[in-house]
Amino acid sequence: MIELAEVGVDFPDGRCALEEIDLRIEAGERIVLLGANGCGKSTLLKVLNALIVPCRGSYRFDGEAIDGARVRDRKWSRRFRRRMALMFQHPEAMLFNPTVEEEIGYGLRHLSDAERRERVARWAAELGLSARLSVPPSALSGGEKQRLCLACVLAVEPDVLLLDEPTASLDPRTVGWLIHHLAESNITTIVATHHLALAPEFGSRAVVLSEAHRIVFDGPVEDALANTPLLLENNLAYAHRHSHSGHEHLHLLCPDGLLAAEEMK
Amino acid sequence: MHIPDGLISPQTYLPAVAIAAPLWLLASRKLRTALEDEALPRLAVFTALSFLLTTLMLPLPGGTNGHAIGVALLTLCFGPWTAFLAYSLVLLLQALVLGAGGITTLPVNALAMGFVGAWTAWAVFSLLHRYETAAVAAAVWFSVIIPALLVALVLGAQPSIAQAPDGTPRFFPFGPAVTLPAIVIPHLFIGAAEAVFTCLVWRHARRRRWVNPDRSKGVKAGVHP
Amino acid sequence: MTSPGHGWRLLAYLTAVVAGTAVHDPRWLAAALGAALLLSGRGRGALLRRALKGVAAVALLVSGGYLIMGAILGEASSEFLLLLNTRLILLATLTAWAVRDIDLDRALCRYPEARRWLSIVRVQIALFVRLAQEFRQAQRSRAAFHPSLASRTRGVAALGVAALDKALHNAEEVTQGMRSRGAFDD
Repeated sequence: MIELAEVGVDFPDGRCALEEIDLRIEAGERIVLLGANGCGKSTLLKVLNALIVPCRGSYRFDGEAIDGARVRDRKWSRRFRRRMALMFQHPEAMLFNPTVEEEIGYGLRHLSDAERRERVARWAAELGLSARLSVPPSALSGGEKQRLCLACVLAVEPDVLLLDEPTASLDPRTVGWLIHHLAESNITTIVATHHLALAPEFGSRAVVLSEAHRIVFDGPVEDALANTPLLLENNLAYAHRHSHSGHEHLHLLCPDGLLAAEEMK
Repeated sequence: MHIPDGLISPQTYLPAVAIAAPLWLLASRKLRTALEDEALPRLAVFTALSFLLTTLMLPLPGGTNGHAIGVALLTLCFGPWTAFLAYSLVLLLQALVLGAGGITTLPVNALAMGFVGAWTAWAVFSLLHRYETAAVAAAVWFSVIIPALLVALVLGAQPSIAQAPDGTPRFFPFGPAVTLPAIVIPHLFIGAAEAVFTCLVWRHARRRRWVNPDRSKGVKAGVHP
Repeated sequence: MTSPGHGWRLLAYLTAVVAGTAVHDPRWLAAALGAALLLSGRGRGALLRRALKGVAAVALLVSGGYLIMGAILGEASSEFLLLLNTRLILLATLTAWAVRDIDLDRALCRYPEARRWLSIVRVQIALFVRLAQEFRQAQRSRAAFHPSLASRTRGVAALGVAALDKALHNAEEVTQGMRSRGAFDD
């Protein structure tokens, strides 16, 4: 379904954002994209969403090569945007409609009025926004904005869902709901996160990006999480040595807490 | 320097609307042609930036502050048309959403500070661009002083433009002998403070490659004449 | 969801403001002020207070200056002072009323691009205001002594840099956000 071959992306100032990315994703796969801050996770998601055209290599979606000309083709773009949705890391990037109702309904312009209203009401209810439909998005709290963005991308009911750090400002209940919802559906999902503890909940296959902007691991999530050198080298966890009661421990810590504890001889 | 409603006569603001309207149209066309799809989101974000710049309090000697205008900074970074449009839209928002400034005085304020301010900054910078820091400082200072001068003249002209048959004024009552020193002198200091502020920001802008040093008149994100 | 009523309200407000500058009899202006306050319904006291607060400084400055000049030159007109102040208060009251009762977004219901622009501006202004607040709080929390003019200037400049940085980044992000949701495909 998705095929990246030797993809490289440079920032306008010449710095490298992604290098030699080879990735093949089949329909229905659930992938967790792991990497430290600044390693290129968001850029990779934007490449997949055809917002950034790679400087090197090729990107194919359902066999079609995606290049500059394809992205500028509005007819193709309309079809593509209905099939693949991206939730940005910062919700403010996606909010440009006057009310919550119009914001959720924006991606559903191809539906009839009745269908659109029904779908907006359903997703607003799912994400606890039913009472906020007539409010402007700017008036929502940070958590509500994030839930609104989630409602916007889920309402489109895409085949491929890209989520950029979805847990960053979502409350635990919504994170739980999202994990459950994704597990129940058969949408192809790619979730970028540096929260290792939640990685197995979001997918079964892990892709790890290094701080040199390359893929350094592609395999089962459990294997990635059990690979201490991989996590340490790629700044996904750090080792903390300490001792109590005369026993020395090595704690492997990640941003969201303790990952593993090991007793040292 | 915002003039509230009630001090400017219709004989002044109606012609100002007639001048400003085609300029707004032209500015938005230029923005659209240069940026196509990106025009709307960029203009919106720069309007918000312009809003922030106008609320900045520039420190003045003696622990006091003066409001920044920010038009010169917007001009140097994004070009005079974008600066003019973003600044006019901020005036509109301030008038209709916050109730600050005035709606009848908006075209005069937009023309003086937005249009003349932006183009003054642009012209002075283009003229002196070989001596960059001095060019930035002079561009900012003049972009504050010239509009202040204009506003002082427009206000000072009110007693002669609109008066009752018996000669009493109907709007702003003082002539240019009062308005020129009252408005221009404080702006000499505000202009200097804004010039220092803009030079400091400009240094970072150059270091971060927001502006293209080879094309001293060009900037990557803006619209250029 | 949208109401054409707000468009008409905006038009009525603009007409009233222009009319307020075309009438030069303080009695008519006072009558208009009374009518505006009567028609504005509940909360008219707050409306008047808001209007007075907005124009008090300008009205006092201009009136005071005029009185002093009049005393020196011996040609002050009480009629003019009445006209100027009634006009200032009337126009400020009309604006306060418009700000309270006109939803700009609804007034623009026929112009989807303008509404979208307004929505983005609102979201972005909230972001910039938060940035400025955090900057000022950080400056205050780090200032051990009363800051000098130079350090205050550096502080404002640092905020300027951060704001410009954020503006460029956000402009790119919002463009991508809109593109990602098919805003440029119609």
